[in-house]
Amino acid sequence: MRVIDFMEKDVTAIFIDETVEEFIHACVRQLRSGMPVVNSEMYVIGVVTESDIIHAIIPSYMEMLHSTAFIPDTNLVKKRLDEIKNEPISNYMTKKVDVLKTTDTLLSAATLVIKRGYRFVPVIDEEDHLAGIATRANLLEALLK
Amino acid sequence: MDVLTVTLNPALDRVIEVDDLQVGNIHRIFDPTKIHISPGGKGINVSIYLDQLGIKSVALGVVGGLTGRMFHMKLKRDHDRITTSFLYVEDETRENMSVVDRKGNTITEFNLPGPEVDEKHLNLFMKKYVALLSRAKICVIGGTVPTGVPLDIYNVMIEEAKRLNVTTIVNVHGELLTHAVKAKPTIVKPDIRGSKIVMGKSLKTLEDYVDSAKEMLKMGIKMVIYSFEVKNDLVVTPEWTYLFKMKTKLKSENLLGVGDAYIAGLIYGMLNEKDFLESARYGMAAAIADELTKEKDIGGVEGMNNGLKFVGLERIST
Repeated sequence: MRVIDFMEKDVTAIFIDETVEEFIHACVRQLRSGMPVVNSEMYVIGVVTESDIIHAIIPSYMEMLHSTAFIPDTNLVKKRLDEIKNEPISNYMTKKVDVLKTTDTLLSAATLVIKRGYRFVPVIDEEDHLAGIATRANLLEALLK
Repeated sequence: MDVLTVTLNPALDRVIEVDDLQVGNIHRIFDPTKIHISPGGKGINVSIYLDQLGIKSVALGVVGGLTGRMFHMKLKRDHDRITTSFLYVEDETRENMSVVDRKGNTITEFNLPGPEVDEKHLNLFMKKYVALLSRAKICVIGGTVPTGVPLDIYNVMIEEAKRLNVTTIVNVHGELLTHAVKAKPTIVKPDIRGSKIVMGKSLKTLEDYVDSAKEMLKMGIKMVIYSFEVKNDLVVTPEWTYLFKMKTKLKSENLLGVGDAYIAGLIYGMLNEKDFLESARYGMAAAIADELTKEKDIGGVEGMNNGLKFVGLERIST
């Protein structure tokens, strides 16, 4: 079975110059945890997830702490999000990303997801344009068949 | 990707069949086959029929809310050859509910409002449109527009398509049509179901239709297709004028989406290197095939080819 047989044929993505705020709204409305980032020709140039934004708004030392009780001021996080919400998403995306081709096998897709722990992987067509995404659930459902 | 379909204001169509509709009573439905839920809207329907003909397309649209998510999910699940690209907005996607009363032979419809699209979202939509357009050969633009979208939006979209050498097929009505034809799309199929007034002129006789089509050709449009007296199609190009007629009287099961099936058949012909006349025959054949079934189903290429034998042509000398 090939990636084309089980991927989500949905080219919903975020453009490189869309803002952090627009990305958050898009995730909430579409129940997504992240999206491919594309340029105006629909080439995948990155991936951005909720985690990328969360990491950007909490102080770096927070990751060392085990309890939120140590947060000096919750408003600090909100304030930080206010500061970055109008910035382009490209400032927070992961740039060098793994992609799958529509012709790749299910096994190679599964290997990539397991190795890297991705929730989803962008899929590109023969001309390297975004063709959809492959999620963990898509993979599992394909294996059920 | 060969075909891009654009539906700014899609709808989730729900049809419930009952045996005897009584206002004010509870109707319990135990048979799931009596409930039909399908994504609709002109461009979406064209994508669905293209899928049945084995042709891949990208469906671009604006959806929103829970209805929008259901719409999106249903489209993705049921149609493997459709790639979706939807812009999500806050308001709910339109819903059209119909209750079909088999005994009383009536259809009761409830058409819910669509979302409002602000300038920011419209700009984003246009950006998606241009990005996808650059990879298409044919672009189908159809249907109404949501609140907040200017009526000349199709004019702008056609101009963009022309800039990128993409063939445009437009299926709209009223003022949207008046604006759209000014941008000279390749093919126009005016939607005259609601009103038979096109570009300020009332269409009554066959001559009125021919004159209206020729007026559009003068503007630079390559082909005009009019549905004439429900069962016939008037097709006009600078070289010829034909009235396509059904050879035999057939029992219609459904007229919903028939115009969209026509466009899918037309595209099938064009992508298979057929000329406009031959492509129009495929268009009518697909429409006939759709008319013979209860739901949006033309029975694939086989069904459409079966419809071909009912297509009759009468050349009109003008």
